[in-house]
Amino acid sequence: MRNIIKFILKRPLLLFSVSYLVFLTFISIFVPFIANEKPIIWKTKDGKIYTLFSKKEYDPKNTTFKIIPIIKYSPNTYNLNEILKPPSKKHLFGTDDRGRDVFTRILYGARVSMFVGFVAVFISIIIGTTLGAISGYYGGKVDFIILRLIEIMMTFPTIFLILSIIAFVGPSILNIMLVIGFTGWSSIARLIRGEVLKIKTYEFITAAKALGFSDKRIIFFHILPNTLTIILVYSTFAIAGAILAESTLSFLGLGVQPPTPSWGAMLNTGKNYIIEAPWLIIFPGLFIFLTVTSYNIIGDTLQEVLNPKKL
Amino acid sequence: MIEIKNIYKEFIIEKNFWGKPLRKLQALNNINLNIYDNEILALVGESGSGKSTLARAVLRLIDIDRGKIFYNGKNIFEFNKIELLNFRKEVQIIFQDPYSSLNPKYKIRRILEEVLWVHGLKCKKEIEYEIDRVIANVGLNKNDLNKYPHEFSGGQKQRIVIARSLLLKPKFLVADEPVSALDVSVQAQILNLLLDLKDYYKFSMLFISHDLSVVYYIADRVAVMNKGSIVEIGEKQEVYESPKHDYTKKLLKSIFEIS
Repeated sequence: MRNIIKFILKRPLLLFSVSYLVFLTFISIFVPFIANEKPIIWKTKDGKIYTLFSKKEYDPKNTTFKIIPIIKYSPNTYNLNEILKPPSKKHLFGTDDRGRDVFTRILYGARVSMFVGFVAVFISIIIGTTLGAISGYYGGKVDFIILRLIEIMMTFPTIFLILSIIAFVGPSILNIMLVIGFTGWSSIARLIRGEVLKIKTYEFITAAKALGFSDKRIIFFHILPNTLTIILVYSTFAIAGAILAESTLSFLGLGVQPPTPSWGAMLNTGKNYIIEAPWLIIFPGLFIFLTVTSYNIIGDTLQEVLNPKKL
Repeated sequence: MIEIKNIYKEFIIEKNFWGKPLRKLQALNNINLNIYDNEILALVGESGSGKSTLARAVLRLIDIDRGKIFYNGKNIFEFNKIELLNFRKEVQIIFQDPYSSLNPKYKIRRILEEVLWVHGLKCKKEIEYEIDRVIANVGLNKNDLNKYPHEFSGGQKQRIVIARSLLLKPKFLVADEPVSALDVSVQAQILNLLLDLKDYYKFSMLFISHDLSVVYYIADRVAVMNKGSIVEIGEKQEVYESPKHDYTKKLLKSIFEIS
């Protein structure tokens, strides 16, 4: 552990990426406590205590005690007196065309991006490793069928495939995660297949067969644990890709639906005000860029250190 | 104990576009061999002569094209599930390369425990007892159980591999060049260990090697293989002192030339 910290501290870019992503993950988990117009906890005059999650409306005149979040805006509350205000002390990243605080919306948008990234990649890794392992381990006809399946998936340009499926199933955050996940498994399946073909020839696998271990046990306990480094490296790149795909979809209006804040959707509304209010596209764009780049930098470093095959 | 009858195995090296074989390699060509209870039969031959293929066929790790292999009178390729599991329990293999015969991800304890789990031993105390037994048998320390394979030397790893194969009290052991990846001083230790264990557990062994001096040390009978067929088989003394086949003579000559 100490070695890992030392390793990171020596590399400023990596240090930045890691701390940025840790920060972003923290934000996406705790954002309701960080940016909210309701206090985290408050006490009314009749002595009752309410929290953020209670349905009770917050009334400042009826309150004796409260703890307020650092940023006192909600992502979806319109404020028509403060439309398209440039960045200032009051609104760090300015406000959008409906007077919502851009900084708050970006923080909530991180939640969407991280969630979509992780879940989509999780789905594609589950599908990809299973199919890849089966294909590599059994070979023969099964291998032939799965390989053709992979090739079919690979011939489609991913983003167009996602677009056309979304057009069928309708845009929603759940559909996006599923579709990105179900279309992205082909490259990891190929990687795993190749690795399994290699590991299969090792003598500890032959030994396991000679000891009477079942195929399932050999695949899941003996082959796949030895492919973990590849999966790790792949997933960092894949998360970056999934976040970018989600932003693209939302930018095209086929992703997360308004008013849910998403970086891509924010870019979409921002593009109408590109001259009058450039902060509407600069900041979401910056966050997309930083997140994707950070994941890629971490992926590159992992690849260098763990030295699996080039992706 | 093991009876090998007229087995053939062909490998296809090259295929044309339609999947028709262009070049074939006759790895096993009409092999007949008996291995009796409580004996060590050595299989010698140069690399590529089909020794390892024969070993894998005897263990039912590969399919053969023709012929039959009997284990205690039953054809191993016609085993049902229970018989096969029992066969896997009683017949074990030790490999040439101790570096790749242990899964690098697991500690030694986990590697040994798993074998017993698969064969239905659930009780923790019994598992502990069995592991202690084999660890003592192969001359390893109890602390070694909490280490990973990469922390051991080649000879120690080979001891672990032997321990793993002894867990199930095998009746027949295939040793596929078990000492050729080790240096000479360690070779002698491992060979002596195998001989001791053989006396203790009373298993018979198919010992594969290309090293004739090692074979002379350990074997009861010797079979010489060349290009997929067995060219000579007999008692050790007989084969070493009065070889009948030209290939055997050539092989024997080669050790004298080196040493």
